[in-house]
Parts: sequence; structure tokens; C-alpha cells
Amino acid sequence: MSNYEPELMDLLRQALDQPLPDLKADTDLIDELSLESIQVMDFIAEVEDHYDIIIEVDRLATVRTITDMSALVAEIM
Amino acid sequence: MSLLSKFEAIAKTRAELGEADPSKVVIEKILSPTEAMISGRHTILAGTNNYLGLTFDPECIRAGQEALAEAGTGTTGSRMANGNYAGHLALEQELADYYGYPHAMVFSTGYSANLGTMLALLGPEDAVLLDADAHASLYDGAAMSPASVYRFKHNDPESLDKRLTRLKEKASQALVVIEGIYSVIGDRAPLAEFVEVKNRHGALLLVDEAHSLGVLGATGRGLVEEAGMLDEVDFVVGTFSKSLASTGGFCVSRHEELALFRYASRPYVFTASPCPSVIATTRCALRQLRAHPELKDRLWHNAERLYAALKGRNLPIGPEMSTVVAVMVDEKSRAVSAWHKLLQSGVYCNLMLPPSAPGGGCLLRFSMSAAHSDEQIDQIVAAVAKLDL
Repeated sequence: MSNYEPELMDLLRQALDQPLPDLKADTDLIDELSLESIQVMDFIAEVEDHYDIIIEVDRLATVRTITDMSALVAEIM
Repeated sequence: MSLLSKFEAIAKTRAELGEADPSKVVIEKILSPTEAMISGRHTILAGTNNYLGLTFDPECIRAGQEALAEAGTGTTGSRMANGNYAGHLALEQELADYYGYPHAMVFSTGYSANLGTMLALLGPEDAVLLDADAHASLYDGAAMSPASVYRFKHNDPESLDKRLTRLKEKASQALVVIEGIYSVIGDRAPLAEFVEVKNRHGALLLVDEAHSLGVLGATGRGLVEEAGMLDEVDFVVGTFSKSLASTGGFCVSRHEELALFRYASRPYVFTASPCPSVIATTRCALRQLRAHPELKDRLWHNAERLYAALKGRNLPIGPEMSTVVAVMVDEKSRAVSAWHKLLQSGVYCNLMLPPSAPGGGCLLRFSMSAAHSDEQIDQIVAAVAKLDL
């Protein structure tokens, strides 16, 4: 587990205002959590503001899990 | 898996909708700007974006008929290959004059106006920042361009400011893209704040006025006029298919370089130009828009009547009184059922399901027209009040 995963899971819970007890780093946000793509985009906006980064929209096509997101944040940071 | 496998999911979704499928609606006969026969039933049209109700304007119809007789049914090709018709140039001049800008550019659809403008403008070293709720045509224009694409929170100038700051020196090569009125829940952009942010960073601003042309501003020029920002905004794009009751789109700009966009815009170069009758009805509708400000007043009277009545019944509607009124429904099956019941009771509106609706929810969207009568609006409200929302 990379450094960003616990923080990203908390950010997702905050963004959705849900406890998400079954959320794991490899949970598929769309297939398993049934998030709409627009909810994932809103989550990513929170991630950008939290880490003071900016993420290109086309990079998001590869983000399906918290692990994916963590890797992307690590690359940009 | 094959190339065609992806259509299984689409087929499943359509099958689940059954008869309650907006894509299966057939307008058997159009009776007026606000009435049609659908499934043999007299139906009030409250989802057509016919804001000024000009689709049956006698002068526009006559202008179109004369153009058909004089110039034929089509142009058979692109203006770059087959030449300009005088009407194309006249419409561009009239649009430029209307906005007080040096240039206008006419496209064959509103969708291609957004694509064509953005693809001409954006290069590989540039950035484009989209409002999160921007229309699909703006996302597509950004995605098809070689520029880096970013997204900021809807109607949030601070979110834009943060992202432009993070772009550092690249912010001066950024295009910011917003809409005048957002089509989903009818809210409008805080334009003056966005202008302040983009000016501070040296970025350019494009405003899509598809749903605000003829709707906002003292002379109908949209949010840019209402907010007093005609001299600050860089590009205004719009469509002919809503207030101007035709098809096509345009871009106008205070920048002289717009005159050169047509040589760098593939959606312009490689599309057949608008046919003469479409240009003629559009020009006439623009004249009608300018000559009859009472149409806009009537439109807002109708919007206020619908919004107040729905709000008075404590229905979950959008936050801002607008010519587009959205009724939120939290569950897809209830939204589909409500939309179908409305249609069966003689009211046509738009059903919006995720991801089209914000926040992952669903909504019923009503668009008002200057041509709606008070009685029709009361019938719409009565039909909505009977729903289980």
C-alpha cells in the first residue's frame, strides 16, 4: 500500500459523505461501488485541492481504484 | 469479446426502459411551437428549448420558402470547396453587428460550432479548463484537441483560480470554457468573477450561450450582455437551434483572429455548409429576436409561473429560477416512471439519467417557451403534482 491510499480513502468517504465500510484500496469505484463517472470526477477535484495538484482529464481513464489514484498522485507529486 | 460486445450493455439499458424510452417518442404531427400529437394524444411540449416560440413564425417560414425556391434545397458541400452563398456571409455580418464584434463564423450545427472553435484555437502547448457541468460538445472539443484538458468545479471561480495557479506560466496559454445558462438545471455562470480570474492569469474565456441567446441581456445577447462583459469575454459560441428555431451554430469574437479560424477548423472545412432555407430562417429569426423584446419578457413570465408553482408544491427543483426548470428525482426507476406518466397525461419533458444529470441523480427537465400559455403551464404543473416524487 502506497502512502496516499489511506488518505485517499478518507477523501472519498468525505466526498461522498458515506462511511463505505467495505472500501479497500483495490475496490473498483465504478463496478463495485457503483459510482457514476461524474462522482469519480468530483472525487478527483477533491484530490486535486487536497494535494494542490492538477490532473489532466485524459489521465483519469486509467483510474478505477484507490490504488490507481494513489499511483497517479505519487507520479504527479 | 468483440468490437460489437459493448452494445450488449446499451441494449440491456434500452430494454429495461421498455416503452418508457425517450428515444422512442415519435412526434406524429407538430401542431404549434408548444403542441404536438404523440401516440395519438394531444401533448404539450415542455422539453424542446423553443425559447422564443419562433418555429412557426410566419415571416421566418416565408423567408425559408423563398430561399428554397430561389436557391434550392442544399449547398452540396463545404464553403471552402463549394463556395460561400451570399446568405452565409450576410448572416455572419448580421451576427457580428449584433454583438458589436469585428467577426462572426457560422457552423452547420451548434455541436460543430464548439468543436470547430476549440479545434481551431487549441494547440499541443495549450491548456483548456472546462466547467465540470459543461456540455458534451465542449468536452468533445477539448478531448479532440491536442491541448491538455482540465476540469474545475461547476460555477466555482475559486476552483478555476486554483487550477490556473497550478498551471503556472502555462495559464497564459489556457482557454477557460463555461456556459451562460447550464442546460441541465438552468443555473447561470458567475461571469464577472470568472472574467476577473481569467484576466488575472492572462487566459482567454469562451462562453457557450446556447441556452441564453435570446433569453438573457437587454437585447438578447445572453449572459455576456446581462453581466456587462461583452468587452471582456473572448469568444461567444451559440446555436441557431433553440431561440432562433433553426439549426446551426456560430462563434463571434472581439479578436480579429477569428477571421482566420475558418482556415484552421476541420469541423468547418469538412462539413457541408448550412442550406439556404436554414440560413434564411435563421436570419429572419434573428431579426424577430431583435425586433420583439416582448418575446423574452413573455418567456420569463412563463418561467416564473412554472418555477413558482412547482416550488409552491415543495417539489425538489433547481436552485435558480430559470427558463429551464429541473425537478430532481433520486432514483432512476421513479424518474423513468414519472417521465412516462407525464407523457401519458399529455406533457412532454426531458428525462435525464446519470451521467447526464449532476451528482449522480436523475431529473425531469422542463424548458419554457414564450409561446406557452398560462393555461398550458397550469396543465404542466397539475400533471407534475400528480406524480409520486
